[in-house]
Amino acid sequence: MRKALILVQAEQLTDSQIAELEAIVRRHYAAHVGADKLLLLWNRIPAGQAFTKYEDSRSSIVTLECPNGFAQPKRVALLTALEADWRGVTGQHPDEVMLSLVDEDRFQELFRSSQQRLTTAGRLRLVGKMLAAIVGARLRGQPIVVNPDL
Amino acid sequence: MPVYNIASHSALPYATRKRTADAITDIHCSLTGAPAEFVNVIFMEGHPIKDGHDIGVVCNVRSGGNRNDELTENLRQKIRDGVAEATGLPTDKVLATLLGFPASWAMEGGEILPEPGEEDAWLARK
Repeated sequence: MRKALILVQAEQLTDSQIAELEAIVRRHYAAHVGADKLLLLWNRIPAGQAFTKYEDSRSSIVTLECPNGFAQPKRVALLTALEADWRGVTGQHPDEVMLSLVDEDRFQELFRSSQQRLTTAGRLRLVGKMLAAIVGARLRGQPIVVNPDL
Repeated sequence: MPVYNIASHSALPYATRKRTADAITDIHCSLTGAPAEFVNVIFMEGHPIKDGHDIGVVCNVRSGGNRNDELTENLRQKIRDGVAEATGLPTDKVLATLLGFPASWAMEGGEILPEPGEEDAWLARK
């Protein structure tokens, strides 16, 4: 299963916007990357905990996993299509949307590094929180949205 | 990109977070020549960091272009030192990891990011 890590600012997007964006991400991923199952993890950053260009951030940061050696023209096609549709939903300025499609080895390294810096107890808490969020979201039929604070 | 992800066990006051983000942005831009609009700094609380550290920094940066291993390691050390100074912690309480990937894998401002060192032409296009 492939993963997508998405960081958005708290109170910037409504739940319905996130649901709409999730559908857009899945549609473009299927069209440009393939039929791999995609796990989207939405992190809502609490106010005052993100900064861009010396100011409180209004940016969304989307990091998607793809197979190693993914063709660059396909990568650009996905990012271009997703960026346009994303901003169509959110109304964000182009500078407020950062998207990347990262080969799986490097993506896994990035994903694991956030866990590897933690104590064993911290890792267990993080994994437990993620699993609870996944189960809860599945039961409600909604996107997996978490506050990244533990 | 870069995205600096800073985890700490204790909550940092807003003023400390802002001071830390400013320091990271200053260091990143002065060392790499990247424009400040690329620099994102995100804080997460309640994360116990291993090996007795108080803060764990993980950052993905653009690789290639004018960036060699020496510059990347220098950046990592300067970021660690800058975070320590901004938060009032000893340097050995800050863990810093930098991961590089090609600029061509990312898009910002509706454009694929430039190779490190080619930002001026990219910014002029916007």
